[in-house]
Amino acid sequence: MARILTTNRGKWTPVLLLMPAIVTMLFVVALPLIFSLYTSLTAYRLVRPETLWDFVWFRNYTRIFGDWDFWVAFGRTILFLTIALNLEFILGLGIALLIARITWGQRTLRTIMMFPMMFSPILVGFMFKFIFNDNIGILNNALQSLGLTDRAIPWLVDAKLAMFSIIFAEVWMSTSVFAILLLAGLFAMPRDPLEAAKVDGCNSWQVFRHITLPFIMPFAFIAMTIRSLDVARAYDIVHVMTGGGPAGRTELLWTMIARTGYSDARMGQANAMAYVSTILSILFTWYFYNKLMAARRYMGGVQ
Amino acid sequence: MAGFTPLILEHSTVAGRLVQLPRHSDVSNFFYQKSLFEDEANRTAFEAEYGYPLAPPETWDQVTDMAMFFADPPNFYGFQFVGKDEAITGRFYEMLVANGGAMFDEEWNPTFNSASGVEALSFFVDLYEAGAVPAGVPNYLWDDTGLGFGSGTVAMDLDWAGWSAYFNDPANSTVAGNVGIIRAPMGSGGLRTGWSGSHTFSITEGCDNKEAAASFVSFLTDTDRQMIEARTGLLPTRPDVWEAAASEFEAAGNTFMVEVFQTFEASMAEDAFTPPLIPEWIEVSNVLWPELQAAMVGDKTAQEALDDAAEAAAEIMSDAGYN
Repeated sequence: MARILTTNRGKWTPVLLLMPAIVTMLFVVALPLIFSLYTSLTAYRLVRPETLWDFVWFRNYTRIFGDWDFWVAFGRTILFLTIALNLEFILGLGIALLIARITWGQRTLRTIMMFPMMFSPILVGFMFKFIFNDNIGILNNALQSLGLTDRAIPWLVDAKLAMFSIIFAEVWMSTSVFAILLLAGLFAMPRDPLEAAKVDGCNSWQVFRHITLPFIMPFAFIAMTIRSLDVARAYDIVHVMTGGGPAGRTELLWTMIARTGYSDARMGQANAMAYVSTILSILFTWYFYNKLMAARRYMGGVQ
Repeated sequence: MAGFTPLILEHSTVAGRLVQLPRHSDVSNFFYQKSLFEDEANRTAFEAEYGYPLAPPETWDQVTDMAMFFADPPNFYGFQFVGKDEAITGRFYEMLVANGGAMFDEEWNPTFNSASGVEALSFFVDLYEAGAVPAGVPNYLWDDTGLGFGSGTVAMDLDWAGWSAYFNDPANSTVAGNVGIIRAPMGSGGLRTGWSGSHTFSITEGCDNKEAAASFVSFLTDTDRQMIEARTGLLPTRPDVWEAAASEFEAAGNTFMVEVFQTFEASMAEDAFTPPLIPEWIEVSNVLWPELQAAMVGDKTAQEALDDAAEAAAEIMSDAGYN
């Protein structure tokens, strides 16, 4: 009798201990996901709650897949993601390498370097919107005062310049995330391979390319995984700076989803688009995770 | 109810029901830099080029002429306007009405792509292409136009009453003391532009103590409360507050604010009109403003842009069951 009781209690203990976490996850993650999936199959409109029961099966999905504007926004989001992530990686790596070499005042510099990522994206959006304003913005005024140009450059209106401006704002805000993670990687690197390479007569570039870089790639891929989720959801900065750009020139997936869902109140359609965006995010995460695992296996071989 | 300006109450009435009690109503009027219009050299040159004397404009065609005359990009611009979201839809809408057109007909078919609509849109497109407005205008919202006029780089600005105190404040604005104000110019249909809306309080149907809610809402919009806001320059919705605030400004010697209040009182009582009071307004606006922008930046002609928008709007209206 006593043995049975002990075994039963032992079997349920892990589940019971995990229950708070499971319940939280259910409420915060699973329920909204299921609700969104359900509403994406309806013609739900926020301002008319009774449309929640208006089941339309896959009409929302067929509508968005047949909508050319949606695919253009989708492609533009992927382009934005690719350029922004790569730029953030290169710049973050450069900053991390420079900071790793500093001996005096390194802690202070590290803290200062992290300032941009402490700002709320909305504030960053407003700040850059006013900097890039063509008439009263500080950038154009500086360029004109220095005599570098004699016309007001429309940073937020011209198709290419507008993309440049939002990528600039995004990269400015998030390069520090990459820099911090890569710096952690640099600090975690063992010194022995470096010294061995120096003894063998490698120059700095070879040391960097064959020893440092492979070692920090796992850190880089972790950063890319995290950041790809944030950049794919880029809404605050783009909405504040261009609102989807003049005539849809900087329309990203999430500015379109937000306008459809909150402004037009067509929540069903917006949720359908959001699910497509979620699948895109999952694909990117899976891609980076595979690369991360491959990089770690590679490092295992070298070590 | 008798204490409110009748036109504003009318704007708050949908299908015969009063759905909201207005606390602060807004309409745009025409601000301009007085020194430019008083300068003798400007006057001679303008009359020589355009054939009529330089004076604060009465019609929007005159505004186009004067904007092109004053413009000197990139240092100075003749005019500016907001270029995205519901803001540009509203500006287009009021120009359309001032030109004698309408957004919808009686069966709720879109009619904004008529000749009046093309004329209204061409006002914005022509100014943008001529460079008489800043090139970033398609991305401007209320902050950009307000700050732009305050920076002194724009000659004329159609803007809301709330900016008056800011424009005349030397600590913030380089045009303080140099700001003139007149009622909004007229379009080709003989009407003045007067896109208007109110900040209001409503009681929901599900409210379980409507008496208390009604009493609270009446308190929030009564004379004393509106006086507090009127003193800072916000437009009231009660005629007695208009009078009282104007006389307070006069007593304090603030002639600019007196002028502002008198101008806005007249336009609020006579020129103000709202967009169609339908829930689909924002959806229609969301398909219209990207097309207006496309025409402005040259991706489409004005007629093409308005036709595309009319097609999308017709779909929205029929989906919603209007026809």
